[in-house]
Amino acid sequence: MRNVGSMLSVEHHLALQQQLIREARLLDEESFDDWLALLNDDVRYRLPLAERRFRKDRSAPSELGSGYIFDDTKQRLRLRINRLQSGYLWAEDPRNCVRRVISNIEIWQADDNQAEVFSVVTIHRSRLDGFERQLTAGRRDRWQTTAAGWQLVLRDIQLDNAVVMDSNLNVFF
Amino acid sequence: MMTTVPGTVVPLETYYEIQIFLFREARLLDDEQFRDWLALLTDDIHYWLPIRENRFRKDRRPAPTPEESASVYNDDLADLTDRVARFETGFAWIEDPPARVRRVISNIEAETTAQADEFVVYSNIILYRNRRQDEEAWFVAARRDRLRRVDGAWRLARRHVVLDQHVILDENLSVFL
Amino acid sequence: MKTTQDFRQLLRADGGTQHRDIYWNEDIYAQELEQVFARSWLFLTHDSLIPKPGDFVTTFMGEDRVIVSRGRDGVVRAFLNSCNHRGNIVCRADSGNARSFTCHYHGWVYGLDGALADVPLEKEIYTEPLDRKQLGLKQVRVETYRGFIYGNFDTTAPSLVDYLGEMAWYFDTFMDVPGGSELLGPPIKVRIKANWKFFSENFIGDFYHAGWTHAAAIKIIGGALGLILGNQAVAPGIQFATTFGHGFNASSGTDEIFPHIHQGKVAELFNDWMRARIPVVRARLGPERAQLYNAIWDGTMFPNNSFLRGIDTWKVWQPRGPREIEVWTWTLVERDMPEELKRGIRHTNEKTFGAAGLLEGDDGENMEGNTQTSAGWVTRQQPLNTEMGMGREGFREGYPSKLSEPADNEAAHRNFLRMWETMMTAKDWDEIITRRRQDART
Repeated sequence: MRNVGSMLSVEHHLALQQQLIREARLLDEESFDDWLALLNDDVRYRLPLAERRFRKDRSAPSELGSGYIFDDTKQRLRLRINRLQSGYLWAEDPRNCVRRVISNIEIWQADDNQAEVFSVVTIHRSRLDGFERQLTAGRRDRWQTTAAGWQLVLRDIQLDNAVVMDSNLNVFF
Repeated sequence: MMTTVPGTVVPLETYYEIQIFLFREARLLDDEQFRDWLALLTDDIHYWLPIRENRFRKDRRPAPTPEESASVYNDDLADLTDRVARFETGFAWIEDPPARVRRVISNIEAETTAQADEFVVYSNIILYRNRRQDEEAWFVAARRDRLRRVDGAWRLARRHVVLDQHVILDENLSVFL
Repeated sequence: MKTTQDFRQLLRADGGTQHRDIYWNEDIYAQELEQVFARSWLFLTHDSLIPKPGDFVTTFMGEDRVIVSRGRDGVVRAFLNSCNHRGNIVCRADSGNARSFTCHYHGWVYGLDGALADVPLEKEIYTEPLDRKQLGLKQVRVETYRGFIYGNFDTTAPSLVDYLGEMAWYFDTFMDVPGGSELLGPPIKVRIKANWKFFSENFIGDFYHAGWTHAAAIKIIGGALGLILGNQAVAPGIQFATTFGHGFNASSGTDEIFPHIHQGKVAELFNDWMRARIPVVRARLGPERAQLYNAIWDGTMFPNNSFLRGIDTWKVWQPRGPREIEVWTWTLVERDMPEELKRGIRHTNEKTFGAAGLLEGDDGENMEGNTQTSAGWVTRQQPLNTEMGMGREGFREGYPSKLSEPADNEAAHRNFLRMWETMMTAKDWDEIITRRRQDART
């Protein structure tokens, strides 16, 4: 077992990197059930709202927090997917073009058979009559190695917008 | 002769060779080294970029095929060579002065097939084109390739480009994705 | 609304010079939507693309969104694609097969004929019953010429056949043949930042540009167009101009199969086809049209439907403001052609005039340049010129419309612009018909 904070072995690094890229493709292809199988049963999936504060602002963050766009367990993610698959989601029918570009991948040894993974995702969406949007976010993940391969345990997403610049966020980051 | 199980992730060294092939291919195209690029293609290359129609999800019509679809590219080696030859005539006015093109390749995956020397390769591309003074275009797409090792060298045998646009949002798609 | 007097500042009476405002100005564009696009026959689709009951496509007439559908009774209808409750787009798909169209906002349901079929909870929530007739989707007048389907918002406009006028005789060259002609879809759609009229004009009569603009593609493809490479020779050909603004060039056919721009196996199949068909056309339609059948054409149906026979491309320049269009491209084939030939023609069309077309790409930039220079106020005051071939127009035995030679000519441009001016200033179709018939005789 390597030290916390060091790199994984090359084989493990490549396997986990491939998993990240495969995860993106499964989402692009709307293979949501396959995507859920990559997630640990105890997974937490979070996208907090960003607050714009001065650098020197030392006031305490609000007691209730800024709020979340996603703060999901596996069950809540299943609900979201059920909505996407319901056949009644008009904004996604006809199907929109979605492409995720994953880059800036860093993989570091964490404790308990886990790896800490940083990456950047750029989601390109082309909807309706040529309406285009790019959404970028930084991701900080925890992945765990199991008998079934690498599984996602935690994802904290930092969206690179204070105001969400699209008419919906029917996409997973 | 080693048999391969189709659909498995390729060994490490093969992955890195494929990655380097794709990055180099992109750089040759960015630098307009088109004859060098043609040399990377197999003789039976098929290069296909179909149009994406907005269809309802319950639409039962079959997915487009190269024989039955509207396409931007549906090219064999002769067609691709014609396109390169056009650049070389000196009369391709819209390419002079040259545009600045940059291809960003990411999300590379590689899997084995039933043939020992052929691999399915997925990748994403963002192509940025800056023309004239201030014209910009981004084309985002996924590529579904077949790469083949021929006498130890990597070649592109098939490319299916899934373009992430319905209406083409720039005045032409005369760049190789 | 600008009067004939104002337009005299914008367009010389014979159409030979223009003020650049007509390709730039927002007010003129707004007037075009009302007086040209809302009163003309606009191309919608072809029977071959909506063959079965329930088949539909969505498209545009000007900037009006329209659904075109074939009813259970087999009749093709078209109607506005905008719900009469709060205006939402009703059908978001480009094409498909449906039993009805449901708005995503409140679930109002419209039939294949555009009638309002269902309003959820109507009895419970509306104090008076809704007037279903009033709330149906506004109908478009639909007529078909040999399978080619056109729509018109104006109930007083002449019939499609009358609007085609002499063009119907010319179109019959490849439409009134055994099996007729059809289109292969779906359409390829590309945005270009230029005024729609530049494209209509480029196709209606601009043979002159081909040898220069398309020099690179001609050099490597060769074929029939090789003659004009670098504009070193005048191409043999005739330019036709018809009463209601339609026009085209045809390269002079000879008795030999005119070498079109297909390559390899497709060229062989095409030549076989032509060899068998030309005598059929001659027997059925006469020697002039047999010669036209053997030619390459570039042409435009007023206002914004263009085509190239021999390539074989069919286009609509959908206007998106005075400085942008969305070009829709289909492939034109004859229904009875063997499948392999149809596929080959589609490939030639896509390779030359598709989104990465070896020739189409050359044109886009010219049109954008034509348009964007008018951002400068001083530049915009410099007139543009279409005086090529003035004084050469006449009539010839065997052809129904005015014509002139050679194909390097702008008679069709001038005729197009005079039709445009008529539509922009005439109060109704009676006036349009009177003025255009007079123009066609002189």
